[in-house]
Amino acid sequence: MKATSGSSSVLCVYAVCSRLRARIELTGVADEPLRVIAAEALAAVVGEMARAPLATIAAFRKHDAVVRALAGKVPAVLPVRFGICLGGVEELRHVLEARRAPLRAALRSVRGRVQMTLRGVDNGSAPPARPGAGLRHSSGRAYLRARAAAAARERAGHSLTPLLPAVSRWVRAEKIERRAGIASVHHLVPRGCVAAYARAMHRTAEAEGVRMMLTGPFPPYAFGR
Amino acid sequence: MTRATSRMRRPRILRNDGGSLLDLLDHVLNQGVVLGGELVLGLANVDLVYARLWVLLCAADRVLPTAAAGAMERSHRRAVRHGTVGP
Repeated sequence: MKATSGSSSVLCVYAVCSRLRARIELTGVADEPLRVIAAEALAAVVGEMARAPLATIAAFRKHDAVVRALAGKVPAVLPVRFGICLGGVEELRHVLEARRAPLRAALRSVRGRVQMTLRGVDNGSAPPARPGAGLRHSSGRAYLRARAAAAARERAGHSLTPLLPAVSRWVRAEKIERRAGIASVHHLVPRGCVAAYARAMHRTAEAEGVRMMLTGPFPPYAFGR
Repeated sequence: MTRATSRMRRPRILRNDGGSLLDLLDHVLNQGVVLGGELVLGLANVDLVYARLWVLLCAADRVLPTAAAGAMERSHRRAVRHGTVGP
């Protein structure tokens, strides 16, 4: 028995955009030149590689750099999960055509918007529990559903709650996570409102005495699915 | 001239400074990571079974939509319909 990491050429997908008329002169995770494959008014930015990329920090950084560069060129970009590789252009076109409606809806939701991320130490939260520990689940899917429900329950109420009303006027979508004593709030805000959003957030945090860290703007990694 | 001004006004998202490791890993975990591999079972140097494997590493609530997430999105859609939020 042997295990290998792949031997045939694959198309590594970095992002999906609505349309990309401008030429891109970017290189990917393996320094491969990137190209645009269009189908159904959608465009995917891909690179041809000998095998699927290894999950390393350096590879994550290169993947992120590509997505950021694209976000600077087009108003709407959907980052694709790291490591998504397809067998060829025909397979990619088939996927784009099959998922045209949800992809276009997702692109509309992130168009002209960026992600801002707010983090704080969640002192009041209980230590992360192992959901379903001791229970037997009928299937792996049931186990994952139990974990997802537990994660959703943990989101209710966190140390950053007092800050959120101050920026709600700019927030078009919100995702909240609480893991290992850290609360993270991801906001989707219009690109032109980033400065006002940051000012309001810092001012409110100082007034409320809440310790937090605000980072961004980023491409919409937490949104668009 | 207009084009140059427009470029100057683009948000900081254009800068490719990489960001912090925390942000980088957060983005990766938000999306998930796909790991691929191939498995070949053989006997006496003869390949008998070939399997191509893909593993998705991701938070469960990112791939399985929950009722809470659905409620939040419905709330946002209502707000859009009532004109309380813009583009």
